[in-house]
Amino acid sequence: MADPKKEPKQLQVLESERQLLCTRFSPDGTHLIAGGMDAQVHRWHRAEVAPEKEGDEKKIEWQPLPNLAGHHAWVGAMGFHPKAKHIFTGDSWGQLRCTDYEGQKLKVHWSQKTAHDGWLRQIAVSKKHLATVGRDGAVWLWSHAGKRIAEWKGAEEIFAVTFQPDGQRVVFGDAKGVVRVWNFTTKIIEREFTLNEFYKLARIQDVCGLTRLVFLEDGKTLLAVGCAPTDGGTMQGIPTLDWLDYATGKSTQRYQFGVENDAFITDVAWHPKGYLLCATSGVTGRGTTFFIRPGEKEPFYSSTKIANIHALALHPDHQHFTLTSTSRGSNGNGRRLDKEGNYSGNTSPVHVFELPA
Amino acid sequence: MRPIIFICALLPVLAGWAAESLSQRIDKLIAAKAGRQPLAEPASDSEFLRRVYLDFTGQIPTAEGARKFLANPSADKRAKLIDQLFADARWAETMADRFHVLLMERRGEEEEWRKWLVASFKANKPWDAMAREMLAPEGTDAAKAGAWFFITKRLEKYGQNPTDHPGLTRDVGRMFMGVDLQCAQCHRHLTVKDYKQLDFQGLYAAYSNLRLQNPNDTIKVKWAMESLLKKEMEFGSVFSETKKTTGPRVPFGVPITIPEFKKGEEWAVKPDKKKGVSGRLKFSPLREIATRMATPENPYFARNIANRAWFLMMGRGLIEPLDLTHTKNPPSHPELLDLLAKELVAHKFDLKWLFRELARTQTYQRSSVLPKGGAPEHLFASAKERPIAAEPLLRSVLLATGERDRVTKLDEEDAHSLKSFGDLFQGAFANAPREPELAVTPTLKAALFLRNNEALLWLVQRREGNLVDRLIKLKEPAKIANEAFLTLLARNPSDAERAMVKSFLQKQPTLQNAVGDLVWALLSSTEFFVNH
Amino acid sequence: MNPLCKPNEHALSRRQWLGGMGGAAAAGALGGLVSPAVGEVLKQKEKQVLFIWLDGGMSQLESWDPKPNTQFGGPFRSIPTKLPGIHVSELMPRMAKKMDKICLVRAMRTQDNSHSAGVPRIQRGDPKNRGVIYPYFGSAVAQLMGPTASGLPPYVWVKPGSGGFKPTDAGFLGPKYGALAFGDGQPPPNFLRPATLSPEQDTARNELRRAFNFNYAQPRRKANNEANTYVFDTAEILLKRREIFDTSKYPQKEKDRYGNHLLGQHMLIGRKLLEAGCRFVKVNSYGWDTHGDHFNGTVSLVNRFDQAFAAVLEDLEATGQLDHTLVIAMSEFGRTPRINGHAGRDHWPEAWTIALAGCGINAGAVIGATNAQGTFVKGDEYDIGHMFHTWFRALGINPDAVEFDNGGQPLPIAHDDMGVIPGVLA
Repeated sequence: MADPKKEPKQLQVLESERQLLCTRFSPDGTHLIAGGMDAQVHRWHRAEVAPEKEGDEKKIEWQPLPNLAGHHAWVGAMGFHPKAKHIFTGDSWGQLRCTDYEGQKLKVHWSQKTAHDGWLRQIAVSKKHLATVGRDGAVWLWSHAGKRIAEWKGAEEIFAVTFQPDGQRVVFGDAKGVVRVWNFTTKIIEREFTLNEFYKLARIQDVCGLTRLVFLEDGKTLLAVGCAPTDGGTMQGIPTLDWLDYATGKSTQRYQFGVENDAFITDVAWHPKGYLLCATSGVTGRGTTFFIRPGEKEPFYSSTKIANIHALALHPDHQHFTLTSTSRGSNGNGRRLDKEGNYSGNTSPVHVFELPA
Repeated sequence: MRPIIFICALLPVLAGWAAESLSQRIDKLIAAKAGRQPLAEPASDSEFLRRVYLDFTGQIPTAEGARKFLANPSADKRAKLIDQLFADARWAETMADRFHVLLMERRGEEEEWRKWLVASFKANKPWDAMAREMLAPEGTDAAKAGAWFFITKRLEKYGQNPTDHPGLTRDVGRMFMGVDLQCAQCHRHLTVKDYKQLDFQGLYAAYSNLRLQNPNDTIKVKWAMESLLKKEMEFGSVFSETKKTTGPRVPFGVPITIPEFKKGEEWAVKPDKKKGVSGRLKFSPLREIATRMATPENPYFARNIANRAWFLMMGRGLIEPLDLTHTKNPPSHPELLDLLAKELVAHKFDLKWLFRELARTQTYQRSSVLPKGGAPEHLFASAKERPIAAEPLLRSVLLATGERDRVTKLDEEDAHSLKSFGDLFQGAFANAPREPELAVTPTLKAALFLRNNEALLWLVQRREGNLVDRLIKLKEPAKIANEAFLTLLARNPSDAERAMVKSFLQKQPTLQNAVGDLVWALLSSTEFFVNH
Repeated sequence: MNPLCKPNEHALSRRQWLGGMGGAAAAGALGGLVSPAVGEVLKQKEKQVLFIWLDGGMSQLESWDPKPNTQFGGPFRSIPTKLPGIHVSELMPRMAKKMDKICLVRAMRTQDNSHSAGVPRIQRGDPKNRGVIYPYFGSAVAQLMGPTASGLPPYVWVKPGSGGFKPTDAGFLGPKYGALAFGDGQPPPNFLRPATLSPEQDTARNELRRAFNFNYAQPRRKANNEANTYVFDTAEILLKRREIFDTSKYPQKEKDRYGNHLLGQHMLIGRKLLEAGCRFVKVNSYGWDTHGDHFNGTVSLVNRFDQAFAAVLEDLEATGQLDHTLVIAMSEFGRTPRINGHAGRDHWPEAWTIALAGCGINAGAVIGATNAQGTFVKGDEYDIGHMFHTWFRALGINPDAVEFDNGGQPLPIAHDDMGVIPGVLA
């Protein structure tokens, strides 16, 4: 794995003043967007800069654009309009919004202040719709124009949502690891299966491990991503990927990576060359990036250079990806002040990589 | 130095005390201090018998033994019994038990330690020699290695606490000099003027220098490596900025100068961990402390053991608490404590002699039944009820219920094996680690154990040859009462008690249960639970 | 001022002879040991304590002192409460409606940021170092106030995990003031009468035992037999109240209200123990040390605490018991404003909150404040020593006049340089 030919090459580190959550490239590849813990949408755009030496190739650089304000607390949910240059963002106070993702100034197309009662966890987008899930146990189906179409309501917080590849069903997973297939036209839950390993009751704490549901290209495999929790408090668990046969809900392959304090696979991206890019975040200050092919027992690449990765974004060119991490030495008990005597927070450097050829 | 002390001890002889034994002089001093306070009656034969058996054999007398003693008309039967028990092999075992609880305060058990204690009491090793062996153990001498336990058990970590060197230092002061210097660790003692920070730190300079080691080829027990002490230890009060230094020093004594050695010449025997050689320092602060602390020249040393021996026999020290000896906390009987200390020195710290003298006193042999109008404890006008530790309590219960032999033969894993009962009794009656057992302390856990524990109740179920079986066969309530009382309490019941037993037995549906309950009621009674 | 919470005239004299005779003995001599009727304590209005311990450190920012939409405020909203202008985290909807019943001290600043040292240090009141191990608050109350007239053990502890007798809480007071722990809500070993023994037989054999003891003790010093009598009687009183530990018999509605989780059920047992007359009941929850995945974990942790706490307050209030019961809910510290790389918060003694209610407490008061970012205390800071002064006063004990007696060494019951927190007491 130390083979430099196989090692992704780090091109740039993008700094932010605050910690970031979800991070994605726009479908046209021109923008990198991240939601922050500061109620802002952070943006960078792709720029070509003149080479330092004559004759060198032009250099690509990601340059910051002004943040988009108007959200509250944490902006942790994100999705792109399939055609227009719009982004859907959701925050932990329940607001859902559609804005332009390009340009210097904020342009809001629509906004739903209380799309959910509280934390809006994830957004999924299909050709015609978008779906949102939240702490209120609700799943909402929306038009791209922000019109409420249908609702499903359960008792548990819902963490992960995606559309069936044909866009006809919403598939979502809750705090207890229950995955449901919802026909929003008939408003019926057509199927339901429970992923027990993604949930544990530790003392009085629900420890929830499901972070994402992702359909692979074939549309037959649903990937459940996250953590098999082993303890609460200082949350412990083993990063877990579960390949599910979507037709039956049965697991065809379960891949567990690392040890108990590696905790979560926080984000994944499917590479068309047939492998999965994964990022983890664990305690204390742990994190791994690894690439794995379905059916193989070991990743063909893994690195612990960057810790506590909360988002992984693959560029539409399939040659570049970013890891959104946390500043080093982010944890520690008690009063710790910087040189000026200020109590400062952590930040999330975004590392831009190029995949090996 | 010793001859001078010896002459001092002889002075009273010149003053005309020659004819009197120590026990007689003790009683005179107690009576003098009591003044008009009436003294309790002498203990009854039963009270006396049970007391000396518990104190010197670690269990109650048998019913047969009690019957014989009570029936014996001779006037000197008590003195003879004392001599007999002091000659009994169980004497050393019992002293070992009692000193183990006193010195280790329920930190745990160790076989070599127990062997060392028993052997020491069996050989009647003088207390100063015992103390030196504990204070500066000679690991390579197998006969003395057991003494390491006093130090090593205290160096073991427990919970999340760091190695408790201050605790070890404190206990050296408490156990061998009767001074609790803990509060003087960080600053002068706030309530005891006599205790200076230097007094703690001088001792700490020696005992903080130890690191716990595992057994090896030459030392078969856990032991502690003493590091080289090159310079005086620095300390400061939390109350002030000034720093002071001290070398090893016995509290209230003179500092010991740390000699200088050329580099490489500090060791008489160099330590070698691989070969298991512990090494021997030319200058060992531990040896220096031990030889200076456990001597007649250190007045605290003799007074402490005299006070502790008195406490073990009478249930209360002449100085209370036992480890707060200082000028503002004088003994209840100053002359008496002086006398005991001087005589002990004159008898070369012969504990067996001292305990025998104490056993012979009227003070020890008084009843715990109060004189009319009561009596304050500190005058020793009546006997004080004392706790019975978990081990003698178990021995007594097994002896009385007639289950000892059966229980001893059972496999360790059996719920009714000696080991199982040992664990149960420790759990129910022993204090938590580091808690001294000084007074009678009934606890809820003990009460729950006595009331409801199935193994305990098993002892009072009828089984071939056990007490309940024997009693049932007697049939007549009066006979049952007599035998039960004699077996459990070493006495005959009063008429009233016989009547109580009779009415109880008659009211119960079955004699079998009723006799078991009678035995249980006596076993759970305050009278059984205390050494009175 | 609550008329029931005037300083108890009896507290001092009782304490004096508790000190003089040894607690257990004195407790036995309190009398009233014969089968107390249910509600006896209620009738007598003796002061009691409910001490809720959230071990590991509850986040002040996700509970009592939210700073929504600020740098360290986390994802949650705050919600208005019964008190105008006062907000709590949205994770506490039930307590928000009961804020007029409690008092918050939002200006705690304590000394220790490690659990191993912090937990005992906080529960011992962090007095000046005098080279002795101080008792936990429960042991201190057990020694200073003794058992109530119910005769039940004065310091009981309902907790997950192991139970039994926990002497170390008592420090220098000695093991008899330790806690009787109901591990997993279960009674101690040997608690139940064996099936082979009928109640009638048990009564008869104990009557005989008492009669023997009477004969023995009459001409002797009373203390030992009284202590022995007390512990035997306590065992019997506990047995009579065994229904407390049989949660299967509790009405389902009641269980649901407290929450079908460890803290809820243990809180319910705790309330029953208070009703039965235990002087000091500690209800313990573990697993609050959320260094990782704090925000997801906090949702269920705080929510379940909110449920159990609101339910117990409601019940104590309904029976009138809240008037003479001091209620405390706290951890060993709060959690860092800074959010670490694993979405956790670390240990934070610098600025956190303790919630109080009941006896002697100024209900509806919010004392002290943190700055806008929630990072440090703004204005007066209070240490745990101040809190101990305040608690003792609420119980009618004057920490400036009452001392512990450690074998002749007088020791203050609370940090001698500190005093009551202004505004907390009614």
